[in-house]
Amino acid sequence: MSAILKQGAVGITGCLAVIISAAGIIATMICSFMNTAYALSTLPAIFVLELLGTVLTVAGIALGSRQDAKKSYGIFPVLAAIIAFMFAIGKLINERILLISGLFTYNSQNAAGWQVFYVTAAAVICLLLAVILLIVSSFAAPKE
Amino acid sequence: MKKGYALRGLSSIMAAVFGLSFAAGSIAEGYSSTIDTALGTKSESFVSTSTKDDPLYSKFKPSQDVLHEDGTGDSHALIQKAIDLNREQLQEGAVLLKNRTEDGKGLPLAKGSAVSLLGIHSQMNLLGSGFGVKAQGGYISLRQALEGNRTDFADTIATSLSQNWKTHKVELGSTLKDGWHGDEFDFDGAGFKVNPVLPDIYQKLNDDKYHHANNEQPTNEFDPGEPSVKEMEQVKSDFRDSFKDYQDAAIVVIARPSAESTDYLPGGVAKGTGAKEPLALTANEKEQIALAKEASDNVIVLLDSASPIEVSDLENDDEISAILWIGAPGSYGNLGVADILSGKVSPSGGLPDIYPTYNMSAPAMQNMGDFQYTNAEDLITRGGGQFGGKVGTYIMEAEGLYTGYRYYETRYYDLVNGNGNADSAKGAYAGEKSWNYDDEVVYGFGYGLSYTTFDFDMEGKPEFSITKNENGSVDAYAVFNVKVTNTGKTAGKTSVQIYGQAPYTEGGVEKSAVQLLNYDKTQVLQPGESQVVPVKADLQYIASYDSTHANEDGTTGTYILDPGKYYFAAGNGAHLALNNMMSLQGTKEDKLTGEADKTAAVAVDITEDQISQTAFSVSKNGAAIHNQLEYADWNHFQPGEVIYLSRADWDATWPKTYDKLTLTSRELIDDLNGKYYTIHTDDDTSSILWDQNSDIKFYEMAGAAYDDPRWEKLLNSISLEDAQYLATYGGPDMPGIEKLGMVEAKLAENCGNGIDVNLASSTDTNAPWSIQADDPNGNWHPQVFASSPVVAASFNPDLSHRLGEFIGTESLFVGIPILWGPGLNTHRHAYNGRNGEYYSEDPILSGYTAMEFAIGAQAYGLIAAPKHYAFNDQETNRSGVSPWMTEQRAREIELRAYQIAFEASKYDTADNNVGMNGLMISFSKIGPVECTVSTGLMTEILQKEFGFHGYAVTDIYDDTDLYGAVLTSGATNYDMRGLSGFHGTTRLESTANLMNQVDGSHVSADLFKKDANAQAHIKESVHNVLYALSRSNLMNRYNATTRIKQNMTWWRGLYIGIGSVSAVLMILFALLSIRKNRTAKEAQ
Repeated sequence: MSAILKQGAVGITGCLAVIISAAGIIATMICSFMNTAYALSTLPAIFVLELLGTVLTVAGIALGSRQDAKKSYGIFPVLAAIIAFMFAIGKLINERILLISGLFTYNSQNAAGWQVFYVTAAAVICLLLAVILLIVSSFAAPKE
Repeated sequence: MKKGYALRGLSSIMAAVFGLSFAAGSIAEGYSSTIDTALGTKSESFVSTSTKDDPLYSKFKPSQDVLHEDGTGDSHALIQKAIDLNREQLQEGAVLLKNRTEDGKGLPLAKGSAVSLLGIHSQMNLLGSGFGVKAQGGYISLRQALEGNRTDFADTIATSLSQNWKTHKVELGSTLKDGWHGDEFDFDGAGFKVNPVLPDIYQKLNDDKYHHANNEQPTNEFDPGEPSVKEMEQVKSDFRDSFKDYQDAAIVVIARPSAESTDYLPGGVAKGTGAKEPLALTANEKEQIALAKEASDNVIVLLDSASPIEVSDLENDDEISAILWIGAPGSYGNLGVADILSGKVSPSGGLPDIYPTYNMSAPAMQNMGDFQYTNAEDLITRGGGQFGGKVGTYIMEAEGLYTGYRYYETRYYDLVNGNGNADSAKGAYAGEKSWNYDDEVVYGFGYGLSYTTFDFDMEGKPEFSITKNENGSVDAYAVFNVKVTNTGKTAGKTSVQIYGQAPYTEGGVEKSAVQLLNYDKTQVLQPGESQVVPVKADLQYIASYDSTHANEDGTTGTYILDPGKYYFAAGNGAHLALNNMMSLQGTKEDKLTGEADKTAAVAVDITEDQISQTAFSVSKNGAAIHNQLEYADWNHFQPGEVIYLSRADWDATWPKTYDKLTLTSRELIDDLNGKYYTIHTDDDTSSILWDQNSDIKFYEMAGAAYDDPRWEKLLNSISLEDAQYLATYGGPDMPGIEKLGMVEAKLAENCGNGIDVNLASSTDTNAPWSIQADDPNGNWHPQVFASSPVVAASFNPDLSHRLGEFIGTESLFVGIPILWGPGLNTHRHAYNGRNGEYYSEDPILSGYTAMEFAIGAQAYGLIAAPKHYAFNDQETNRSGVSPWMTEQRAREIELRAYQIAFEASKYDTADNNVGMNGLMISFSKIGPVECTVSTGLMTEILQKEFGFHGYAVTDIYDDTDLYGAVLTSGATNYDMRGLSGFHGTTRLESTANLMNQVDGSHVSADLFKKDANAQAHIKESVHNVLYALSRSNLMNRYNATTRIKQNMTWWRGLYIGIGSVSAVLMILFALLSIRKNRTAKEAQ
């Protein structure tokens, strides 16, 4: 914790990104398991991408807390984490695109579908927030 | 901010942009055809070069009357032809139900008549369905047709309703986004003067409150949205003053919509309407009729509805002069309505559905709506399907054989003859203590009046022809020569409907007392003129399906033609035909309801020597017929729990409402959970050949017969993987098979009343007749024709044929070889929201109408694929509802229409076994088994009995969780709506819809490596799909040079460009930031 605090805004935003991405993972799980008709068929891939993103974020924080030359390489896990989160978002939307197209047109009365949609939207928002936080943390200079 | 961290931040932004662009690109590629349609882009081009040996566009051509001399398309002529044909549809399909011509009232109205139009739908004409069979584009309103002589498409564009996703409210929108900038057309209207005050009032009320569209849909709590007279007075208090100048007639329009997705429901009426049922007249509609009586003493009611409206009060009201049913007339059909109102033509249509006093009196209505097994949630583990529907929903079709007129007429027959407790109060809705035909029925099936009268006489005995075929089947036909004489004072035409009655033994196999066998139409007959119309009836349709018959081969159930006395009659509808038969049988006229003429009937003794009792136990295609759908009957699983209606005792068997069925049978529960097929893992598949050498290409198979030996060679040349892709990805786009020189293409579109593609949006822009984007009529939309019941009501095979030909012509203009249509389910009852898309309650009328349409379309290379095979009897819970029924009902009612269309024996020749080459499978189940996986339905009945060869696609993504079962049932592919691509972005392994298999399997190209049955079915599916396509106008564009060219659309360039640039910048910024930070560190 002291290492994180030592990094100042960088550490805090990175830490928040980890927490929010974890929330995104939980929301993804819920949206897949809340209704058998709407189970995510690529859940393992999405989960791996989300987990990878989270682990890479942690790695980025860890590398950023170092004081040696490797500190600069902390950018790479962060970039990879951002890409992983974005791909996970893409896969989530791809899975829900038919549901969404139905809900917003001919199938708007599908109550179960709307519930799944809202939880999926929460998962996507969490992952997007994680990405934004990682971008913000990238701009911030750590405490020297 | 330090520069190093700014670079680091920019690098992160670029990473996000990179991820976003390629994630979006991946989604976009998967739905490229959908995006192309929406954005007007073209991500792929179908490229062929005409050569001397293989000239393109030579196999199917539009008729010369819609082409310019140089062979280019004449959009103006095409639209004019559509206007004329839609007009003719209503001239022949509108049904005159009542016409009191005493004192000069009634119809027709004289030229120059001054009339008032009442009812909000007289201004907001209901033309088509809100969802499904819409009437699109510029239309000719009723008012224009009555008083005008030139279209005003620019200002009269059909509107439609759509549901706002946010508010769930239904909103009004135009069917043409960019408006109409094309030609206007001259027409000769009725020449009436129309009261201009009322339309303005209705328009204001519609704008301010009612928001009616030209295409609407039912709702579960229906309100027809008819304004009260008080509301009209609030708009213009003195509007009645206008009546005095328009007293020749008051024309009231009463309308009820129909559409995909929503039914009317029993008792489903909005509060305050004053009606108990959705098809009953509301208080405000009655006010409009009362107002019409104030306006004129000649009140004409137009019924604009695909479903029977309850109009017994109007029939019995002497102040109502005439009632004319017009269905949903389509974009230009009001011209035909005007022709009838003005007497330019005499009406000649017959009702496609019976009109009961109360629709709820139909036995089918005892079991219609939303039913779920009491323990469904506990026992059914399979999901509710693509629409998120409830699991374990069902309807019990306990009415058995007695759908529509078959019920009312059979019960009437038994009542007159004192059989089967027909006079019981059970089922009596209009009568007080006992059932009575006159109380319960307003207008019979097939009934329709004319401005003249006709006399029907059977000319001698029917001419029988009975032939035993080599394949064991028997062709048995009877030709009835009916002499029709115009006995009135006006020229007119009429349908000649031939009905039959088979001998019935009480307690034996159920038989309708009267059933339509075939029909035709006369030419226009002048007063006094006669015409002998030969009508050929296929006697297999008077045989009965006995599901208990013990067959010689040890199987059970087949068609039986009992020896005995058969009665046949012509008549103005089923009721009068039955009366004619009963008159011949010696029934006294005072016992009959309505007229009777025994000279229009004939009795024939059919003995075993003439036609054996089991003559029809072998289908025309040579398949032995026996039970295939035993699981359609609930009693098969849980015996004795359901009683089906029987004429042996109308009282004891009157259907109860089966609203609390409980699942106890393990087999039944397993079926509902989708446990149908186990994928084999150790079969010897060496005899099924793949990847063999062959130089045959797909284009060479144009027009080849199904059993052409080249097919085997061609099919053996492809890989199992290629075959599996083609058997999986169907729908609008189908993948290609490179080895066959076959490329991916957009192939199919909706629907039955025209093709759902704008004229200038052709997928085949290389066609010489293709209409270019700069053509003034380029945004004409070909979905313009009348609803299906109007087509059927014409009882005119030639007109259906010409409609098929015209829509086939449309298909050449818009480059579509497969049409998902026409709708071919029978009307089980009046409340099916989709009745406007299906023809009739009668399978014979439906089947012959569809057959003519399909054969007409085929002449222009359009494969008509009727839907929804089969049993789509309601829209409520449509994604997986279980209809339960007897096999007799399934075969004699629900499947018969398909049988007629698929067999198409009328057009068979010695060299060519003609038939429909496409179909769409129903979302529904049959019993507990999905239609898509029912081998009994898809293989045994469809392919073997009916001899179907062609494209048999599921509905949208239906049953993608039953992959192995669907691919081995006889279905040829899934409708994967928008998912396309072959060995590209779309792969079996990565297609989301295929991933959650009920049996736990994982869909891949290796799934069936050791499953001989699946491989054989997949090969047969590919054979069927390619065969259908080889007979389509797709072959116009195919030759040895055909290939697909990928195009760099702007959206494709955008995501690739942004992704690439962002990737480069991401790396660059990252490296620069590292360098900067290091430099800074070193400086410290």
